[in-house]
Amino acid sequence: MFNKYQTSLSLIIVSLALLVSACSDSTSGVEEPISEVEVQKVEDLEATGENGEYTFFSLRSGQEVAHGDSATTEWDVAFNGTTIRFNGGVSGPGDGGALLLDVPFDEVSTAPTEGYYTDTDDSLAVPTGGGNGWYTYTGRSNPPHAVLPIEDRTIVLETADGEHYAKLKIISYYKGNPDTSTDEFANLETRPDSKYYTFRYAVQMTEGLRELN
Amino acid sequence: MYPQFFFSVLFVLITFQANAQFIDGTVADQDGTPLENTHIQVKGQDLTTVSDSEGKFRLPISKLEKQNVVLIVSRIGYNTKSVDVDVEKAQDQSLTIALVKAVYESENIVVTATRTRRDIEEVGIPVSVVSDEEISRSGSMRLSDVLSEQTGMQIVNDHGTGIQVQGFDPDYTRIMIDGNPVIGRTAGTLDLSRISVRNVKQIEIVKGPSSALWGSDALAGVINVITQQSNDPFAAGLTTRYGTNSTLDLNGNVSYNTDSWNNNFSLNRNSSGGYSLNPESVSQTVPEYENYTFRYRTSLDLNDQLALEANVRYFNEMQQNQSSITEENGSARRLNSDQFREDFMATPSISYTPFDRLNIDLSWMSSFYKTDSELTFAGTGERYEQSVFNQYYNKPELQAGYRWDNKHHSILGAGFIFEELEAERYPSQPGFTTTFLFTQHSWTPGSNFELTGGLRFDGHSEYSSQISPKISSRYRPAEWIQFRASAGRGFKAPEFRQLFLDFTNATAGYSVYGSSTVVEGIQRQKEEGNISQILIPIEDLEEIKAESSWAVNFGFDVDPVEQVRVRFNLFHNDVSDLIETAPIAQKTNGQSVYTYFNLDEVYTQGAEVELRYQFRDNLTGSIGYQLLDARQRIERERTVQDDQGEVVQRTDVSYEPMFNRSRHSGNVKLFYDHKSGWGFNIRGTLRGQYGLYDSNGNGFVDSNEYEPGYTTWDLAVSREIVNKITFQAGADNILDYTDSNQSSLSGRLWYGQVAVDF
Repeated sequence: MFNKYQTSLSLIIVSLALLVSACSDSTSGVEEPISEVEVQKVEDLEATGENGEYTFFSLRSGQEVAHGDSATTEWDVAFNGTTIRFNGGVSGPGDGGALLLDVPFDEVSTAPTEGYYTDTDDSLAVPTGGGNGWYTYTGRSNPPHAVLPIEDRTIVLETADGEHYAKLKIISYYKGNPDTSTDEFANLETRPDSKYYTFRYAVQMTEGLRELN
Repeated sequence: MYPQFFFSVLFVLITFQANAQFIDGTVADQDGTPLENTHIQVKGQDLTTVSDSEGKFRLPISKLEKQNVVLIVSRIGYNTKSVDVDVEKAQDQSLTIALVKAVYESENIVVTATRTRRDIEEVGIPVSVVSDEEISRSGSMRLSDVLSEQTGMQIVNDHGTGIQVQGFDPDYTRIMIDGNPVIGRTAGTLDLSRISVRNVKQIEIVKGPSSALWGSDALAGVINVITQQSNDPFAAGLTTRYGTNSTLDLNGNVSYNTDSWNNNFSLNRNSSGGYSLNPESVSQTVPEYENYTFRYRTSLDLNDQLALEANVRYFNEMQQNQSSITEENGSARRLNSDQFREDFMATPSISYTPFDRLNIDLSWMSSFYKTDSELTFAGTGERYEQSVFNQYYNKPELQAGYRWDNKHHSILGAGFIFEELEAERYPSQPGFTTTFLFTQHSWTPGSNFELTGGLRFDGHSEYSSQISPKISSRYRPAEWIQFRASAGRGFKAPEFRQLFLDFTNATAGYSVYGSSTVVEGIQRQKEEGNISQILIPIEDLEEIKAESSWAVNFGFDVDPVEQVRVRFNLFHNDVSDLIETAPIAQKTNGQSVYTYFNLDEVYTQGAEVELRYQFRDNLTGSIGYQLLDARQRIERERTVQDDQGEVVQRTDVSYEPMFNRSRHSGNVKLFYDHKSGWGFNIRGTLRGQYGLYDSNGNGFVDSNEYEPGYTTWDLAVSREIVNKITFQAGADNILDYTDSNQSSLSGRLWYGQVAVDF
């Protein structure tokens, strides 16, 4: 359902600095590629697949990808419960991979050139488990039994075609991105449903460029 | 409340003649042993002297302004007395003044600080005492009521009502009745509402680690409830109290005493309809309950050297509540929850004093704590779940005290602790043994200085041994000021649950294993197909260690004027290897499997100030305040970027605020008694903001995660008639503050009480 995705912010940044440096540094006649970063926020992407079926998503198109296309490089990232997979390795036919940075989303201005992991049978690029990957599990502390995204942790990834860099930040695991500091959230009876992802991402639409801001 | 400390008893014996220009005298104790460093003051005159090592003193007559003078004779640990002296007659004689040792019945004598009876002024560690008078005037029924109004103590609710001392969770404070530990903790909390404070003589509170004397659990401090022991030939009392939530408290006590045989009985019945702070929940916040406490204390003096004593306590309680479960088809079914619990403690002891300087105590403590919880379907009565928990505790102990001379006193003790458990959560019926040995030496070169050092060894059958040293000192440079300083180590052995727990919550579906049972538990869950993911590989688990701390306390008492006492204490506790639960695996039902880990480090530090002011004989006020800074060490491996945007690793270490700790807390109390028999008091307790919800899951309190603080006010009015009958009425939490996160705050509670003494 498309109305679930709101394009809250979609902008194209033309990197003047790059152009300027390209012009002044006119040692070659080849034109420097133009950085084109698309930033989007996705709300309440449902990942409730009870029999392990994933919800597939393409960062390049900003759209959910049909389950039937799971064996293609159409999708970049897939969700089921707290597990996130990337299109590569054991997860898909693509060349995608990911790494985790303890840097706030806005401060990740450049994608690293190396250090990306692909999903394997032993471990996923973004490992599951509280504190290991993108979230903490609160256990018996307050609010109890909650899955909360780790602050300032940003996923940097390569898209399925292996040509684009992107960064992604999970904002909420609960329907409606609720305030997690309330009594209502702490109470398991009144807490909104889990397995609904709200996340923000930025993808470099120009192949090979590492700029993400 | 520090009133005039010494009551007096005195013997003036006239012996033989002495020098004509002086009044000569000797100060001795009841047995004739000379007392050095006794302070002798001529009343109304700026003339004082101190007795020498033979107890002798001399006052020049030429300096005396009157014919009849009064000498004020005082020494720490003894009752002060005034002696009327006719100067003309006295110059022909030598006075012999016998001082009587301050008796235990005085509220100023404490035992918890040094395991010997000592004046509270004489100990080098921070001790405070809540007297029976304050307990009864405040209308307190349970230990939790009393402690909630003390400076630096915070009531916290987690599987019962516990107490936070110097920023430590309830697990780290040892709770004792007449010097013997109360057993039976749930999730580390010893529910203080199990302990009635009717017929209690005083409650002694020692802050800072006391493991050097008391062993495990005395990491944050020790709370010792001293029960009443009447010496009247016959005494009896009856108290009835009724209040909001159908809370009924009935208490009766009888004591029968001869010269050598003391008997004190008491029986308490306490019940309540409970209350609910969350109307949406089917469960009551505090369930309906009814409990009984029986106590018997007896002592028999066989002769001058041998005395027998026995304490027996039995408590039982029935709680009723409702809960519900959601079945697979999504419908909710009501459950009735019945919880029964009981505890028993018997401590026979023999005290042998072969000669004056030596005292030997041999005691045996036998105790059990049992709970039986049952969940049944409402309607059908069919059983949903039942769990039984039985804990047994036996402790033989021998203690010897020896007074070398007026300056040196030593104690030496040894014993065993045998513990055992029966519960389905502990299928192996585990047990372990502790062997302990402790010693303490006090050196008092003069009445204004003392140094005490102690050391305790605890050998566990399962773990490496613990050595807990402690040193404390006090120094009184002038009559109006005294300094105290102490340093020591505290420890808390891993509890049964942290070792042997094997538990799966039937309603919520999570599992918790002890460090010894986790390997087998994970294996079993795996075989049953319940595990979706292992978060921490079993082979990476380390053996659990005892939690331990080093602490320093420094403070002083100042009496700027006679009616004012200011007490100040600074504390710092460095804690390592704190044990916490953390998930080790994820289950297919979405819940986790937990086990126990040694969390690196925590520190708590702060300052405590208490000011007491005796406005008039019948009007006393006090203000207490605690500043607390409790932080845990957070070590984070961070993956960050270098200037080129490439991945680099960095380790960040920081100390971050802990949850459920208030930086500021305090209390205000005002007690007034009119001679007509009317009494009035008002008590206010303030709790500053505290972290509650970890809304971002980072494990510590961020600036936006604080809950607002609150204040509660309690009022009580009483009227005493012919010293026999006391009527009391009051309201606790009169401003009706409630917060669903503070389950012990039930909103405004009205009550009325009648107490009769025979």
